[in-house]
Amino acid sequence: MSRYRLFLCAQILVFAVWGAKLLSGHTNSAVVWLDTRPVDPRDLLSGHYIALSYPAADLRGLNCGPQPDIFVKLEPDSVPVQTMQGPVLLYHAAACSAEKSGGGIWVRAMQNGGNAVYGIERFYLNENNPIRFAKSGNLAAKVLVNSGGDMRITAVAEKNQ
Amino acid sequence: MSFISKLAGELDGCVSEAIINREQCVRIMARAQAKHAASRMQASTWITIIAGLSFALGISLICAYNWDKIPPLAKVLAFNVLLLATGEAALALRAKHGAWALAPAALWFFMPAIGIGLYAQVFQLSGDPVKPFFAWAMLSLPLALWWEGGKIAFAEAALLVYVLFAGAFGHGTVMTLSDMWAGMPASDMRLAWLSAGLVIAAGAYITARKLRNQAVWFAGALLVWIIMLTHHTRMFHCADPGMIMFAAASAALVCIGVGAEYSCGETGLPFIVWFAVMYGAGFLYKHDRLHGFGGGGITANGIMLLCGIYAAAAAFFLFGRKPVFSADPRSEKAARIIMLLFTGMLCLLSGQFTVAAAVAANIVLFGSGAGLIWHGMVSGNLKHVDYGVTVVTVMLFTRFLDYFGSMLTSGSAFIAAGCALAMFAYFIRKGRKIARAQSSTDGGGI
Repeated sequence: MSRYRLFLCAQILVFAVWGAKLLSGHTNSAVVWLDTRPVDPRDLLSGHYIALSYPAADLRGLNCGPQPDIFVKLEPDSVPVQTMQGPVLLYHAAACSAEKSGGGIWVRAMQNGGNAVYGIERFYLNENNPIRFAKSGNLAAKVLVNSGGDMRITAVAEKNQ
Repeated sequence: MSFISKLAGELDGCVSEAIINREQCVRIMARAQAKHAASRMQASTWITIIAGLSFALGISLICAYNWDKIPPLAKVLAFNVLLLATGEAALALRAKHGAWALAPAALWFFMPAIGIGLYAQVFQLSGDPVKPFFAWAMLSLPLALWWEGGKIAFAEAALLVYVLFAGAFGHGTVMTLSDMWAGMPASDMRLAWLSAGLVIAAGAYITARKLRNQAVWFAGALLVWIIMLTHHTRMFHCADPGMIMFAAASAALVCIGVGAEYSCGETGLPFIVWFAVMYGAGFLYKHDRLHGFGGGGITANGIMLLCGIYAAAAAFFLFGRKPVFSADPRSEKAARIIMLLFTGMLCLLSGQFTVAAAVAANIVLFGSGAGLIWHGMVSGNLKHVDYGVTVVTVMLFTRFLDYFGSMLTSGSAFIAAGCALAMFAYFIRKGRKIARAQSSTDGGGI
């Protein structure tokens, strides 16, 4: 087998393993809904997306410590919010720590200047999708949380004002 | 008119002028036609290509229309099959029709980017904006190194340069070195420096292996990146305009050296940069001292980094073998030493010697212009004469307006300048005549 074919096989292996990990990484995950503040840019490689920021990313007042890699505990609000997908409980950041401590839903985050970066700050969608033009703060994001605390956004729904 | 027809015409001319004989003409034509036939595609191949394109277009349209209904697994599998097909097509064409393999090879080069973009879209991956480009560059590196010709390698080098700049000076990337205002943790900074080092090593390796003729471009980009470090990082911060000008002129010298050694003398732009820096320095004769910019002060690391560029320039100029300035070894040696000294002088722009260094920069530019004119006249190189005239004329006008600009009512200064320029033009004209006469005597065309 020539070095070119070995290289091609290595490339396919990378994408196959990565694809398999992404396909299987969020089976049997917990579901949380997060409130959002969107804007609308475009990615060179992947197309249109809504850039999302979350009130749950505001960690000021939680005393998370100086370390960049942290876990944030999410707890539901007491009052449900009406969305196009029915009433949902929005989650907020209740605590943070270097490790998971106790029960509840803990998610992995990067701490940056008092804000958490969860890795769910983009939601890619079709450029004809009307949600693309949703006004700031008018969306709720449906997020899967696996056992390792990794999050993946699966849907956004407009809130009924 | 095809290549073969043109060649036939040229060879007939050669036979009629007795440069080659008829038998040689027939053999050359036979060889050229055999090669041409081998690289030409059969009609059946064209039909197959059109059929393939039509099929691919149909599949693409169906996929685009039903994109949201296709499950992620199907998208992942389809991408991997497409990657395999692209690679195999490139390899098959490479074996049979070398020149035609470039198109699928180029697609193969872009396939990792397509895959990363697709996965990001399908699985809603967010985060670092530079990491996908970094991964693409690393996944395509072997192809760029191994594929014949320099086009894929050039695309890879351009990608690496983009990753280097966007990563180091962007915000919130794995390679971000801009720690001036963000306060990056030390662990992240180590990873960022490691990533930047990896990208630089990959770029340098691919340039040395595949792009020696374009080495000056990678060297220039790297030097600009290094100078930008002094503005964006705490470790190498240097908010001193004098030192930045010194580094920019030194970087131009490095590029001149790299151009002479590796790039078939591609040194035009670095020379312009060097003159531009000297020209800029010439304006500072009215300043007692230069003030820093951007805040953050000056660090010893920053000074050492910028002096390192000058050291690299000195190494190229002291040990470089190929001529840069002149075919005459003595003139070459003298010019190299003078350029190094003049460039080193720019570090005096900082501190108490700003005025002296700026005045010296003016003298250097006038001297360089006069030197170019003199060398052009002696060696019969009219290009050097033209460059020298340009430098001296620009300097005369600039300094005249700069110095007498506020006294425009004083017409005597204009009259004196007009007389000086008229005399200058007279001597130039005389010099050109001598140069033309000398070049025609030597038999060399200019």
